[in-house]
Amino acid sequence: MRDKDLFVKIEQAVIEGEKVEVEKRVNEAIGLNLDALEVVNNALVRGIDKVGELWENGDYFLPELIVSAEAMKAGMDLLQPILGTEKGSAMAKGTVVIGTVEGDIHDIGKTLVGSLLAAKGFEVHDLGADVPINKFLAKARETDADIIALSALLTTTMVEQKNLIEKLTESGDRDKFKVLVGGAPVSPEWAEKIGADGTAPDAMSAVRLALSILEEK
Amino acid sequence: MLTFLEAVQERPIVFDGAMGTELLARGLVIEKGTSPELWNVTNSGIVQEIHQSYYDAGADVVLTNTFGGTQPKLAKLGLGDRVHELNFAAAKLAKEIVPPEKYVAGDIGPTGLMLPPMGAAKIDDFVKAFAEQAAALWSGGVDLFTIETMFDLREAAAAVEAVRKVSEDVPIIASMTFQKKKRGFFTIVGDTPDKCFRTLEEAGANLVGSNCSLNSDEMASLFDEYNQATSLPTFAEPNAGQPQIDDKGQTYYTQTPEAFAEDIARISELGVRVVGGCCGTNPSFISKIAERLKG
Repeated sequence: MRDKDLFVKIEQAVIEGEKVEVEKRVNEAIGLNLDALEVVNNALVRGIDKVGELWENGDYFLPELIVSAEAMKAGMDLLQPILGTEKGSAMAKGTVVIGTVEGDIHDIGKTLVGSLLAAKGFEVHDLGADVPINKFLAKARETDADIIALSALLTTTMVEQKNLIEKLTESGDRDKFKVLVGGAPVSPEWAEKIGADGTAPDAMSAVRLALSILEEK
Repeated sequence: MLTFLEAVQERPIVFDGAMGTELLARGLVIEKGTSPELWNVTNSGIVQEIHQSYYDAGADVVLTNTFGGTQPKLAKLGLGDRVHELNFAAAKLAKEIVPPEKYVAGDIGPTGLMLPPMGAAKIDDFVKAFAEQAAALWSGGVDLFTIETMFDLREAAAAVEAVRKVSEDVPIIASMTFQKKKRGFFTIVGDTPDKCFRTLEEAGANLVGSNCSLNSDEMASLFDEYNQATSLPTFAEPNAGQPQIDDKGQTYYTQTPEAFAEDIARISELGVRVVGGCCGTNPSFISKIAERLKG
Protein backbone atom coordinates (compact mmCIF):
# COMPACT_ATOMS: atom_id res chain seq x y z
CA MET A 1 0.00 0.00 0.00
CA ARG A 2 1.34 3.45 -0.87
CA ASP A 3 2.28 5.71 2.04
CA LYS A 4 -0.39 8.22 1.17
CA ASP A 5 -3.11 5.58 1.18
CA LEU A 6 -1.89 4.38 4.55
CA PHE A 7 -2.02 7.90 5.98
CA VAL A 8 -5.57 8.32 4.69
CA LYS A 9 -6.54 5.00 6.29
CA ILE A 10 -5.10 6.12 9.62
CA GLU A 11 -6.85 9.48 9.39
CA GLN A 12 -10.17 7.78 8.58
CA ALA A 13 -9.76 5.34 11.43
CA VAL A 14 -9.24 8.22 13.86
CA ILE A 15 -12.34 9.96 12.53
CA GLU A 16 -14.33 6.78 12.90
CA GLY A 17 -12.92 6.09 16.35
CA GLU A 18 -11.60 2.70 15.27
CA LYS A 19 -8.84 2.13 17.81
CA VAL A 20 -7.87 -1.35 16.62
CA GLU A 21 -7.65 -0.16 13.02
CA VAL A 22 -5.49 2.82 14.03
CA GLU A 23 -3.12 0.52 15.90
CA LYS A 24 -2.97 -1.91 12.99
CA ARG A 25 -2.22 0.76 10.40
CA VAL A 26 0.25 2.66 12.58
CA ASN A 27 2.11 -0.57 13.19
CA GLU A 28 2.16 -1.06 9.44
CA ALA A 29 3.66 2.39 9.02
CA ILE A 30 6.27 1.61 11.65
CA GLY A 31 7.06 -1.64 9.89
CA LEU A 32 7.62 0.29 6.67
CA ASN A 33 9.97 2.67 8.52
CA LEU A 34 7.86 5.65 7.64
CA ASP A 35 8.79 8.90 9.36
CA ALA A 36 7.01 8.88 12.72
CA LEU A 37 6.53 12.65 12.80
CA GLU A 38 4.86 12.53 9.41
CA VAL A 39 2.52 9.79 10.57
CA VAL A 40 1.54 12.02 13.50
CA ASN A 41 1.08 15.21 11.53
CA ASN A 42 -0.29 13.90 8.25
CA ALA A 43 -2.51 11.16 9.56
CA LEU A 44 -3.31 11.21 13.29
CA VAL A 45 -3.53 14.97 13.71
CA ARG A 46 -5.42 15.44 10.46
CA GLY A 47 -7.92 12.92 11.78
CA ILE A 48 -8.38 14.64 15.12
CA ASP A 49 -8.61 18.06 13.42
CA LYS A 50 -11.50 16.75 11.34
CA VAL A 51 -13.10 15.38 14.52
CA GLY A 52 -12.79 18.82 16.09
CA GLU A 53 -14.63 20.34 13.12
CA LEU A 54 -17.37 17.73 13.37
CA TRP A 55 -17.72 18.51 17.09
CA GLU A 56 -17.95 22.24 16.49
CA ASN A 57 -20.59 21.74 13.83
CA GLY A 58 -22.73 19.55 16.04
CA ASP A 59 -22.17 16.42 13.96
CA TYR A 60 -20.06 14.72 16.60
CA PHE A 61 -20.91 14.66 20.27
CA LEU A 62 -19.12 13.69 23.43
CA PRO A 63 -19.11 9.91 22.88
CA GLU A 64 -17.73 10.28 19.35
CA LEU A 65 -15.14 12.76 20.55
CA ILE A 66 -13.90 10.50 23.31
CA VAL A 67 -13.78 7.41 21.12
CA SER A 68 -11.84 9.26 18.41
CA ALA A 69 -9.49 10.82 20.94
CA GLU A 70 -8.78 7.37 22.37
CA ALA A 71 -8.16 5.91 18.92
CA MET A 72 -5.78 8.73 18.20
CA LYS A 73 -4.02 8.33 21.51
CA ALA A 74 -3.51 4.63 20.79
CA GLY A 75 -1.68 5.60 17.63
CA MET A 76 0.37 8.19 19.51
CA ASP A 77 1.31 5.63 22.16
CA LEU A 78 2.76 3.36 19.48
CA LEU A 79 4.77 6.19 17.95
CA GLN A 80 5.94 7.84 21.17
CA PRO A 81 8.94 5.50 21.74
CA ILE A 82 10.15 6.13 18.20
CA LEU A 83 9.61 9.87 18.43
CA GLY A 84 11.37 9.88 21.74
CA THR A 85 14.54 8.55 20.22
CA GLU A 86 14.53 10.22 16.82
CA LYS A 87 13.11 13.65 16.72
CA GLY A 88 11.83 13.96 20.25
CA SER A 89 12.91 17.57 20.55
CA ALA A 90 11.56 18.53 17.16
CA MET A 91 8.32 16.89 18.16
CA ALA A 92 7.84 18.57 21.49
CA LYS A 93 6.41 21.95 20.71
CA GLY A 94 6.37 23.04 24.28
CA THR A 95 5.35 22.02 27.76
CA VAL A 96 1.92 22.68 29.15
CA VAL A 97 0.62 22.22 32.66
CA ILE A 98 -3.16 22.04 32.54
CA GLY A 99 -5.89 21.51 35.08
CA THR A 100 -9.24 22.60 36.47
CA VAL A 101 -8.93 25.01 39.38
CA GLU A 102 -9.49 24.23 43.02
CA GLY A 103 -13.10 23.80 44.05
CA ASP A 104 -14.18 22.92 40.54
CA ILE A 105 -14.66 19.35 39.40
CA HIS A 106 -15.66 20.04 35.79
CA ASP A 107 -13.06 18.46 33.56
CA ILE A 108 -14.39 17.27 30.22
CA GLY A 109 -13.36 20.38 28.30
CA LYS A 110 -10.02 20.60 30.06
CA THR A 111 -9.23 16.95 29.35
CA LEU A 112 -10.14 17.45 25.73
CA VAL A 113 -7.84 20.45 25.39
CA GLY A 114 -5.06 18.43 27.05
CA SER A 115 -5.53 15.54 24.63
CA LEU A 116 -5.57 17.80 21.61
CA LEU A 117 -2.46 19.64 22.79
CA ALA A 118 -0.68 16.30 23.26
CA ALA A 119 -1.86 15.31 19.81
CA LYS A 120 -0.33 18.46 18.44
CA GLY A 121 3.03 17.65 19.96
CA PHE A 122 2.99 19.40 23.31
CA GLU A 123 4.29 17.70 26.41
CA VAL A 124 1.17 17.87 28.55
CA HIS A 125 0.95 17.49 32.32
CA ASP A 126 -2.75 17.19 33.09
CA LEU A 127 -3.20 17.63 36.83
CA GLY A 128 -6.88 16.76 36.77
CA ALA A 129 -9.57 18.78 38.53
CA ASP A 130 -9.81 20.57 41.87
CA VAL A 131 -6.14 21.55 41.64
CA PRO A 132 -4.74 24.01 44.19
CA ILE A 133 -2.63 26.89 42.91
CA ASN A 134 0.48 25.58 44.61
CA LYS A 135 0.23 22.33 42.71
CA PHE A 136 -0.02 24.14 39.36
CA LEU A 137 3.00 26.29 40.17
CA ALA A 138 5.09 23.44 41.54
CA LYS A 139 4.53 21.37 38.40
CA ALA A 140 5.15 24.31 36.10
CA ARG A 141 8.46 25.06 37.77
CA GLU A 142 9.46 21.39 37.95
CA THR A 143 8.86 20.83 34.23
CA ASP A 144 10.03 24.28 33.15
CA ALA A 145 6.65 24.66 31.47
CA ASP A 146 5.93 27.16 28.76
CA ILE A 147 2.23 27.41 29.43
CA ILE A 148 -0.01 27.06 32.47
CA ALA A 149 -3.58 26.44 31.32
CA LEU A 150 -6.40 26.89 33.82
CA SER A 151 -9.97 25.75 33.36
CA ALA A 152 -12.93 26.85 35.48
CA LEU A 153 -16.58 26.27 34.84
CA LEU A 154 -18.12 28.20 37.70
CA THR A 155 -18.10 31.93 38.30
CA THR A 156 -17.27 31.07 41.89
CA THR A 157 -14.11 29.20 40.99
CA MET A 158 -12.82 31.25 38.08
CA VAL A 159 -11.41 33.72 40.59
CA GLU A 160 -8.70 31.10 41.19
CA GLN A 161 -7.33 32.02 37.77
CA LYS A 162 -6.86 35.59 39.02
CA ASN A 163 -5.33 34.28 42.24
CA LEU A 164 -2.76 32.15 40.45
CA ILE A 165 -1.59 35.05 38.31
CA GLU A 166 -1.32 37.21 41.43
CA LYS A 167 0.72 34.52 43.16
CA LEU A 168 3.10 34.29 40.20
CA THR A 169 3.53 38.05 40.15
CA GLU A 170 4.23 38.08 43.89
CA SER A 171 6.88 35.39 43.56
CA GLY A 172 8.60 37.29 40.79
CA ASP A 173 8.45 34.70 38.04
CA ARG A 174 5.30 35.83 36.23
CA ASP A 175 7.33 36.29 33.05
CA LYS A 176 8.52 32.71 33.00
CA PHE A 177 5.12 31.30 32.07
CA LYS A 178 2.29 32.09 29.71
CA VAL A 179 -1.01 31.72 31.53
CA LEU A 180 -4.02 30.72 29.46
CA VAL A 181 -7.50 30.59 30.92
CA GLY A 182 -10.67 28.92 29.76
CA GLY A 183 -14.08 27.58 30.68
CA ALA A 184 -17.68 28.59 30.06
CA PRO A 185 -17.78 31.74 32.25
CA VAL A 186 -14.38 32.97 31.04
CA SER A 187 -14.52 35.87 28.59
CA PRO A 188 -11.82 37.83 26.77
CA GLU A 189 -12.67 40.73 29.10
CA TRP A 190 -12.04 38.55 32.16
CA ALA A 191 -8.79 37.23 30.72
CA GLU A 192 -7.56 40.74 30.07
CA LYS A 193 -8.74 42.01 33.43
CA ILE A 194 -6.78 39.41 35.34
CA GLY A 195 -3.66 39.73 33.21
CA ALA A 196 -3.84 36.34 31.53
CA ASP A 197 -1.92 35.82 28.30
CA GLY A 198 -4.95 34.58 26.44
CA THR A 199 -8.20 32.68 26.36
CA ALA A 200 -10.06 30.63 23.78
CA PRO A 201 -13.73 29.67 23.62
CA ASP A 202 -13.28 26.03 22.65
CA ALA A 203 -10.75 23.21 22.40
CA MET A 204 -9.73 23.69 18.79
CA SER A 205 -9.08 27.40 19.14
CA ALA A 206 -7.30 26.72 22.45
CA VAL A 207 -4.80 24.59 20.58
CA ARG A 208 -4.34 27.27 17.92
CA LEU A 209 -3.81 29.81 20.67
CA ALA A 210 -1.19 27.65 22.40
CA LEU A 211 0.68 27.22 19.13
CA SER A 212 0.68 30.93 18.37
CA ILE A 213 1.70 31.79 21.94
CA LEU A 214 4.73 29.54 21.53
CA GLU A 215 5.69 31.21 18.29
CA GLU A 216 5.78 34.50 20.13
CA LYS A 217 8.11 33.16 22.79
CA MET B 1 -56.42 21.24 47.22
CA LEU B 2 -55.69 20.16 43.67
CA THR B 3 -53.02 17.55 43.10
CA PHE B 4 -49.99 18.84 41.23
CA LEU B 5 -51.05 17.13 38.00
CA GLU B 6 -54.55 18.57 38.29
CA ALA B 7 -53.08 22.04 38.86
CA VAL B 8 -50.92 21.64 35.73
CA GLN B 9 -54.07 21.09 33.68
CA GLU B 10 -55.80 24.06 35.24
CA ARG B 11 -53.41 26.99 34.96
CA PRO B 12 -49.81 27.99 34.15
CA ILE B 13 -47.51 26.75 36.89
CA VAL B 14 -44.53 28.80 38.02
CA PHE B 15 -41.45 27.17 39.53
CA ASP B 16 -38.80 28.96 41.51
CA GLY B 17 -35.45 30.39 40.41
CA ALA B 18 -31.83 29.64 41.22
CA MET B 19 -30.92 28.32 44.65
CA GLY B 20 -27.13 28.14 44.43
CA THR B 21 -26.58 31.84 43.91
CA GLU B 22 -29.07 32.70 46.66
CA LEU B 23 -27.06 30.51 49.05
CA LEU B 24 -23.78 32.06 47.93
CA ALA B 25 -25.24 35.50 48.51
CA ARG B 26 -26.02 34.43 52.05
CA GLY B 27 -22.54 33.23 52.81
CA LEU B 28 -22.22 29.70 51.48
CA VAL B 29 -18.65 28.80 50.59
CA ILE B 30 -18.14 25.61 48.62
CA GLU B 31 -15.13 23.62 49.77
CA LYS B 32 -14.36 20.12 51.01
CA GLY B 33 -16.59 19.21 53.88
CA THR B 34 -19.36 21.53 52.89
CA SER B 35 -21.99 21.66 50.16
CA PRO B 36 -25.25 23.47 49.47
CA GLU B 37 -27.05 20.33 50.68
CA LEU B 38 -25.31 20.51 54.06
CA TRP B 39 -27.07 23.80 54.70
CA ASN B 40 -30.34 21.89 54.93
CA VAL B 41 -29.03 20.78 58.30
CA THR B 42 -26.59 23.49 59.39
CA ASN B 43 -28.47 26.54 58.09
CA SER B 44 -31.99 25.27 57.53
CA GLY B 45 -33.49 28.65 58.48
CA ILE B 46 -31.67 30.36 55.64
CA VAL B 47 -32.72 27.71 53.13
CA GLN B 48 -36.32 28.17 54.31
CA GLU B 49 -35.98 31.94 53.86
CA ILE B 50 -34.93 31.40 50.27
CA HIS B 51 -37.85 29.07 49.59
CA GLN B 52 -40.19 31.58 51.25
CA SER B 53 -38.87 34.41 49.12
CA TYR B 54 -39.71 32.43 46.00
CA TYR B 55 -43.19 31.50 47.22
CA ASP B 56 -43.75 35.16 48.10
CA ALA B 57 -42.60 36.18 44.63
CA GLY B 58 -45.33 34.03 43.13
CA ALA B 59 -43.81 30.59 42.68
CA ASP B 60 -46.26 27.69 42.92
CA VAL B 61 -43.47 25.19 43.43
CA VAL B 62 -40.02 25.29 44.97
CA LEU B 63 -37.28 22.73 44.35
CA THR B 64 -35.63 21.22 47.41
CA ASN B 65 -32.02 22.22 47.98
CA THR B 66 -30.74 18.81 46.86
CA PHE B 67 -29.41 19.33 43.34
CA GLY B 68 -26.11 17.62 44.20
CA GLY B 69 -27.67 15.28 46.73
CA THR B 70 -26.75 11.87 45.35
CA GLN B 71 -24.09 9.73 46.98
CA PRO B 72 -21.47 10.06 44.20
CA LYS B 73 -21.76 13.86 44.21
CA LEU B 74 -21.74 14.21 48.01
CA ALA B 75 -18.87 11.76 48.33
CA LYS B 76 -16.61 14.17 46.41
CA LEU B 77 -17.05 16.64 49.26
CA GLY B 78 -16.67 14.00 51.95
CA LEU B 79 -20.40 13.81 52.70
CA GLY B 80 -21.26 10.54 50.95
CA ASP B 81 -22.64 8.90 54.08
CA ARG B 82 -25.22 11.62 54.69
CA VAL B 83 -27.49 11.17 51.69
CA HIS B 84 -30.59 10.27 53.67
CA GLU B 85 -30.07 12.90 56.34
CA LEU B 86 -29.52 15.83 53.97
CA ASN B 87 -32.26 14.97 51.48
CA PHE B 88 -34.79 14.22 54.19
CA ALA B 89 -33.98 17.52 55.92
CA ALA B 90 -34.32 19.42 52.65
CA ALA B 91 -37.79 18.05 52.00
CA LYS B 92 -38.93 18.51 55.57
CA LEU B 93 -37.86 22.15 55.88
CA ALA B 94 -39.63 23.07 52.66
CA LYS B 95 -42.80 21.24 53.66
CA GLU B 96 -42.76 23.12 56.98
CA ILE B 97 -43.30 26.42 55.20
CA VAL B 98 -45.11 25.52 51.98
CA PRO B 99 -48.13 27.80 51.65
CA PRO B 100 -51.61 26.37 50.99
CA GLU B 101 -52.29 25.38 47.38
CA LYS B 102 -48.54 25.27 46.67
CA TYR B 103 -46.07 22.42 46.27
CA VAL B 104 -42.62 21.11 47.08
CA ALA B 105 -40.66 19.33 44.36
CA GLY B 106 -37.82 16.98 45.24
CA ASP B 107 -34.85 18.14 43.16
CA ILE B 108 -32.70 15.48 41.51
CA GLY B 109 -29.62 16.56 39.56
CA PRO B 110 -26.87 14.59 37.79
CA THR B 111 -24.60 12.24 39.77
CA GLY B 112 -21.45 13.33 37.96
CA LEU B 113 -20.89 9.71 36.93
CA MET B 114 -20.62 9.00 33.24
CA LEU B 115 -21.36 5.99 31.08
CA PRO B 116 -18.85 4.60 28.60
CA PRO B 117 -17.09 5.90 26.63
CA MET B 118 -17.00 9.04 28.78
CA GLY B 119 -16.65 7.14 32.02
CA ALA B 120 -16.95 3.72 33.61
CA ALA B 121 -20.36 3.88 35.26
CA LYS B 122 -23.17 1.39 34.69
CA ILE B 123 -26.89 2.11 34.56
CA ASP B 124 -27.30 0.32 37.89
CA ASP B 125 -24.96 2.83 39.53
CA PHE B 126 -27.33 5.59 38.51
CA VAL B 127 -30.48 3.76 39.57
CA LYS B 128 -28.96 2.96 42.95
CA ALA B 129 -27.82 6.53 43.58
CA PHE B 130 -31.12 8.09 42.54
CA ALA B 131 -33.24 5.55 44.42
CA GLU B 132 -31.41 6.35 47.63
CA GLN B 133 -31.93 10.07 47.15
CA ALA B 134 -35.54 9.73 46.02
CA ALA B 135 -36.45 7.57 49.00
CA ALA B 136 -35.14 10.21 51.39
CA LEU B 137 -36.99 13.02 49.61
CA TRP B 138 -40.18 10.95 49.56
CA SER B 139 -39.93 10.26 53.29
CA GLY B 140 -39.50 13.99 53.78
CA GLY B 141 -42.85 14.54 52.08
CA VAL B 142 -42.23 16.01 48.63
CA ASP B 143 -45.29 16.36 46.39
CA LEU B 144 -43.48 15.62 43.14
CA PHE B 145 -39.99 15.05 41.73
CA THR B 146 -38.05 17.18 39.29
CA ILE B 147 -35.19 15.41 37.57
CA GLU B 148 -33.23 18.25 36.02
CA THR B 149 -30.16 19.46 34.20
CA MET B 150 -29.59 16.01 32.79
CA PHE B 151 -27.22 15.87 29.83
CA ASP B 152 -27.22 12.12 29.35
CA LEU B 153 -30.62 10.71 28.40
CA ARG B 154 -29.71 7.31 29.83
CA GLU B 155 -28.96 8.86 33.22
CA ALA B 156 -32.23 10.78 33.11
CA ALA B 157 -34.18 7.62 32.25
CA ALA B 158 -32.42 5.80 35.09
CA ALA B 159 -33.53 8.60 37.44
CA VAL B 160 -37.15 8.23 36.34
CA GLU B 161 -36.88 4.48 36.85
CA ALA B 162 -35.40 4.99 40.32
CA VAL B 163 -38.16 7.37 41.41
CA ARG B 164 -40.77 4.90 40.19
CA LYS B 165 -39.20 2.28 42.47
CA VAL B 166 -39.96 4.64 45.34
CA SER B 167 -43.47 5.56 44.19
CA GLU B 168 -45.50 4.28 41.27
CA ASP B 169 -47.54 7.38 40.82
CA VAL B 170 -45.78 10.40 42.26
CA PRO B 171 -45.62 13.07 39.52
CA ILE B 172 -42.24 13.22 37.80
CA ILE B 173 -40.88 16.07 35.70
CA ALA B 174 -37.87 15.01 33.63
CA SER B 175 -35.85 17.90 32.22
CA MET B 176 -32.82 17.77 29.92
CA THR B 177 -30.10 20.29 29.15
CA PHE B 178 -29.56 21.05 25.48
CA GLN B 179 -26.97 23.01 23.56
CA LYS B 180 -27.77 25.05 20.50
CA LYS B 181 -25.55 23.82 17.67
CA LYS B 182 -25.53 24.77 13.98
CA ARG B 183 -27.61 21.71 13.21
CA GLY B 184 -30.09 22.30 16.02
CA PHE B 185 -30.62 21.45 19.67
CA PHE B 186 -28.75 18.47 21.12
CA THR B 187 -27.58 17.25 24.49
CA ILE B 188 -23.82 17.15 24.86
CA VAL B 189 -24.14 13.42 24.27
CA GLY B 190 -25.99 13.98 21.01
CA ASP B 191 -29.68 13.35 21.71
CA THR B 192 -32.41 15.59 20.29
CA PRO B 193 -35.31 16.99 22.31
CA ASP B 194 -37.89 14.80 20.59
CA LYS B 195 -35.92 11.65 21.25
CA CYS B 196 -35.45 12.69 24.86
CA PHE B 197 -39.11 13.53 25.41
CA ARG B 198 -40.19 10.19 23.90
CA THR B 199 -37.72 8.13 25.93
CA LEU B 200 -38.56 9.89 29.20
CA GLU B 201 -42.29 9.47 28.64
CA GLU B 202 -41.72 5.74 28.04
CA ALA B 203 -39.67 5.58 31.23
CA GLY B 204 -42.62 6.95 33.19
CA ALA B 205 -42.28 10.74 33.42
CA ASN B 206 -45.47 12.79 33.63
CA LEU B 207 -43.93 15.99 32.31
CA VAL B 208 -40.87 16.48 30.11
CA GLY B 209 -38.83 19.55 29.31
CA SER B 210 -35.60 21.43 29.38
CA ASN B 211 -33.62 23.61 31.75
CA CYS B 212 -30.25 25.37 31.98
CA SER B 213 -27.60 26.12 29.33
CA LEU B 214 -29.98 28.04 27.09
CA ASN B 215 -31.15 31.59 27.70
CA SER B 216 -34.87 32.38 27.55
CA ASP B 217 -34.83 33.37 23.88
CA GLU B 218 -33.08 30.16 22.84
CA MET B 219 -35.39 28.13 25.07
CA ALA B 220 -38.38 29.70 23.31
CA SER B 221 -36.91 28.57 19.96
CA LEU B 222 -36.48 25.07 21.31
CA PHE B 223 -40.10 24.81 22.37
CA ASP B 224 -41.29 26.49 19.20
CA GLU B 225 -39.73 23.56 17.40
CA TYR B 226 -40.36 20.76 19.86
CA ASN B 227 -43.36 21.43 22.10
CA GLN B 228 -45.52 19.46 19.65
CA ALA B 229 -43.14 16.50 19.81
CA THR B 230 -44.82 15.30 22.98
CA SER B 231 -48.37 15.03 24.23
CA LEU B 232 -47.19 15.30 27.81
CA PRO B 233 -47.34 18.69 29.53
CA THR B 234 -43.98 20.41 29.18
CA PHE B 235 -41.54 22.22 31.46
CA ALA B 236 -39.06 25.02 30.69
CA GLU B 237 -36.50 26.69 32.95
CA PRO B 238 -34.00 28.78 30.98
CA ASN B 239 -30.92 30.61 32.22
CA ALA B 240 -30.91 34.38 32.47
CA GLY B 241 -28.16 34.78 29.87
CA GLN B 242 -24.53 33.95 30.63
CA PRO B 243 -22.65 34.76 33.83
CA GLN B 244 -20.28 37.74 33.75
CA ILE B 245 -18.07 39.31 36.38
CA ASP B 246 -18.24 43.05 36.97
CA ASP B 247 -15.49 45.42 38.13
CA LYS B 248 -16.16 44.60 41.76
CA GLY B 249 -15.72 40.90 41.10
CA GLN B 250 -19.45 40.25 41.46
CA THR B 251 -21.19 37.81 39.20
CA TYR B 252 -24.16 39.08 37.24
CA TYR B 253 -26.24 37.57 34.48
CA THR B 254 -26.89 39.36 31.27
CA GLN B 255 -30.67 39.17 31.09
CA THR B 256 -33.06 41.45 32.97
CA PRO B 257 -36.14 40.11 34.77
CA GLU B 258 -38.41 42.00 32.35
CA ALA B 259 -36.82 40.61 29.19
CA PHE B 260 -36.73 37.16 30.73
CA ALA B 261 -40.40 37.30 31.68
CA GLU B 262 -41.35 38.37 28.15
CA ASP B 263 -39.65 35.28 26.74
CA ILE B 264 -41.29 33.13 29.40
CA ALA B 265 -44.66 34.52 28.33
CA ARG B 266 -43.83 33.48 24.75
CA ILE B 267 -42.85 30.02 25.98
CA SER B 268 -46.13 29.77 27.86
CA GLU B 269 -48.06 30.82 24.75
CA LEU B 270 -46.40 27.97 22.86
CA GLY B 271 -48.20 25.64 25.23
CA VAL B 272 -45.52 24.96 27.83
CA ARG B 273 -47.44 24.52 31.07
CA VAL B 274 -44.71 24.77 33.70
CA VAL B 275 -42.05 27.48 33.67
CA GLY B 276 -39.39 28.82 35.97
CA GLY B 277 -35.86 30.20 36.03
CA CYS B 278 -32.52 28.43 36.23
CA CYS B 279 -29.02 29.92 36.65
CA GLY B 280 -28.90 33.67 37.08
CA THR B 281 -32.48 34.07 38.22
CA ASN B 282 -33.71 35.21 41.62
CA PRO B 283 -37.05 36.16 43.21
CA SER B 284 -37.36 39.33 41.12
CA PHE B 285 -37.34 37.21 37.96
CA ILE B 286 -40.02 34.96 39.39
CA SER B 287 -42.26 37.86 40.41
CA LYS B 288 -42.04 39.33 36.90
CA ILE B 289 -43.00 35.93 35.49
CA ALA B 290 -45.88 35.53 37.92
CA GLU B 291 -47.12 39.03 37.04
CA ARG B 292 -46.96 38.26 33.33
CA LEU B 293 -48.62 34.86 33.51
CA LYS B 294 -51.16 35.33 36.24
CA GLY B 295 -51.98 38.99 35.73
